[in-house]
Amino acid sequence: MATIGGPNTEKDNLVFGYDTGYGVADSDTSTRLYPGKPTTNIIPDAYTMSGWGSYSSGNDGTFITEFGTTGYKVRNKNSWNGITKSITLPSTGTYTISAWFRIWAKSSGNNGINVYTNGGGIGDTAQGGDDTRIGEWQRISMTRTYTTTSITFFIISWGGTSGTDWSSWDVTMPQIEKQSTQSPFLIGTRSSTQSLIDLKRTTDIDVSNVSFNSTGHPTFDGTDDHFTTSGLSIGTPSSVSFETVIKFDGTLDSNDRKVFHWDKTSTTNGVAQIRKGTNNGRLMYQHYNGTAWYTLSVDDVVTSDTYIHILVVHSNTTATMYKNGVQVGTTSVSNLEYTNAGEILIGYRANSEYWKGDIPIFKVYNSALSAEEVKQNYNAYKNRFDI
Amino acid sequence: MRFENRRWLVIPTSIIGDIDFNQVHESNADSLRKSVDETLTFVKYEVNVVEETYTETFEDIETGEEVVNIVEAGTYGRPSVYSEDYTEYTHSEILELLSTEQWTVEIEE
Repeated sequence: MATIGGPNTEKDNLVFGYDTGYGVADSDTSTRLYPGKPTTNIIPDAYTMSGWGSYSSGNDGTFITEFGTTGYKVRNKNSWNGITKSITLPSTGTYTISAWFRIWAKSSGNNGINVYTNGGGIGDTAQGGDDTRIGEWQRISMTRTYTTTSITFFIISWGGTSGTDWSSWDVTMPQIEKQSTQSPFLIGTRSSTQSLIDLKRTTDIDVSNVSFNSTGHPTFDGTDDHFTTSGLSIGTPSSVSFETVIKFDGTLDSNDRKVFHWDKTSTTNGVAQIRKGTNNGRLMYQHYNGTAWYTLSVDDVVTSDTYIHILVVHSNTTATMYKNGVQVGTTSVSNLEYTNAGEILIGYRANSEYWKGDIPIFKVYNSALSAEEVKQNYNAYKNRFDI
Repeated sequence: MRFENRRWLVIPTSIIGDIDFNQVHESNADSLRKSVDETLTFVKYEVNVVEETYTETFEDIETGEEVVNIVEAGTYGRPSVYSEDYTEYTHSEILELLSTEQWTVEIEE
């Protein structure tokens, strides 16, 4: 069951879950969320860096990096050195251009490592790195909006006086993606079901219908953002627990909004859902037993602009809701009926009731977590979400 | 305010085929939310509003030449399907619209 440090996803009867990495991951970090939209690295052969040309004073050829990728190295080359490649963008628009650099040394008159493009309707534009991070890999990234599609991508060190100024550095993993946020390095395309990975790695999560903020994390703006999973059947459990961290954006409104709705195939009903009620900060857990809906409704749970940890435990015919590790409501319900359970809709149901805010954590266990385990799981998240 | 630069354009469903989904947040026609009578839908996108025309000057780092770029006042980033024939909404405005019976059906459970 749960551990002091939080749930053990491999052992704790977790059947589905996701964690967007909010607070612990950034756009360079491959957790189980690859930030931003499903994307394509437009640079062909980015892993092997084939087809790059030498620029100005040039480079010292390729090597295999500790990441297994091909890199280029530059050693004591005169200023204006590096590599270059012509790229045709698939369309005009906003792109994020990046590469991983490691600087070893440079003269004071040299501007050091840069990603740099020419063309695209915006002329020369560049972004430098931190030249004080000697011998350490760092990613340099810039986001630009191009109005034409032909660009020349330079990965260079530039500036100073030729014959006097110089630099030594390495580069690997170049990337150009059509979005305003950098995402972890990829080869080819990351599809809409490869961006947010189920913690159990058994269920697909489709992120094609959610938008992302400037850090690449998913946002639910209350109009049409949502996730959808592939079908998820968990047999006929006697107990189930739902865990989520949610935040409602802005003043509480009078709209019914879903945290999740677990569909049931071949019917308009579902098997379970958690929804914000229409007033009083009400949060409702509901389940359908094949004949009727049963509800656990608790007021003053949802608050505005604040992350809260919610855990609902449905054990046999009792449902209990915990907010931030503390029990806030319990009631008699019916036995679970999960025959024909289908996809889980995160942040909506049908064509309406869209969540407004964040849902960075969502997990389903096919067991009843104890009050102690609920508290442990809450403790595992409270600092991260400043609860 | 979140989504300060995001805009929603309500359009008739009859022109869904004109949407370039590379230019909006929605990914394809199937993902569009429709009004209750399915005659309307919307797309959302980010805009950059330039209040006043300004001139930006920067140095071409390779040639050393000064480059001057005039940025005209206006709203940038609208998709090609945008037309003044349709109403563009801010976040608070679209939330208010979507709360109406035209867009939302009460589901009992």
